[in-house]
Amino acid sequence: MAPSRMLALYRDILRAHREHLRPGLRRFGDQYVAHEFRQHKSAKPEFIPAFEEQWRTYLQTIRQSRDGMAPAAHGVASEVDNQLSAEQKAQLQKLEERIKSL
Amino acid sequence: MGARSFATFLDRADVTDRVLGVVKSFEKVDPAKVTAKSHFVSDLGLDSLDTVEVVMAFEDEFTLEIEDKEAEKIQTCEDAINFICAHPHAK
Repeated sequence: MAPSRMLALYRDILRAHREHLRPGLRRFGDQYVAHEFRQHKSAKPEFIPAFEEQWRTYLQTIRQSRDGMAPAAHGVASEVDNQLSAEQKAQLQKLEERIKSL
Repeated sequence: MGARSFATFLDRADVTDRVLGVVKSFEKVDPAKVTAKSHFVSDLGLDSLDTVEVVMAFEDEFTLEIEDKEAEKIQTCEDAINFICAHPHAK
């Protein structure tokens, strides 16, 4: 991990959490990003660009959100999404369509 | 605010107590090892990511924002104490 560049990104993300997330969510978000960055500390160099890119996208998302509403949960949501069954995804899809139609 | 707001500097002993308090309450730190001279990495066993978190905790404690260039230089409790004592807006 290119230290100072990644540390600056890490700091920016923690700052964005502080500014854009409610305290409970901030704590959760901080733990999540800390865990991810720690896991990638010893990652092979070829994995770093994709990792960095994903977190830069996440940072943008957080910065555009307010009060930790939907967009802020993006990183977590995609993780949850990976664990859903096809049936659960279909239900979620229906729910989403229903909400949009209201 | 406005006309009533002016630069005030905090008392060094008070800053020292609060800085050490923040570091001692950091999960991965053994509170018994913390002194004003402690280096976060070599004395307290923290890594570079932890150090970012500790500096963020100082920002929260003293209601200030430390620029990246300054934040990178804070590697010991004493560095933090010096920075905060010299910062007119620390609360």
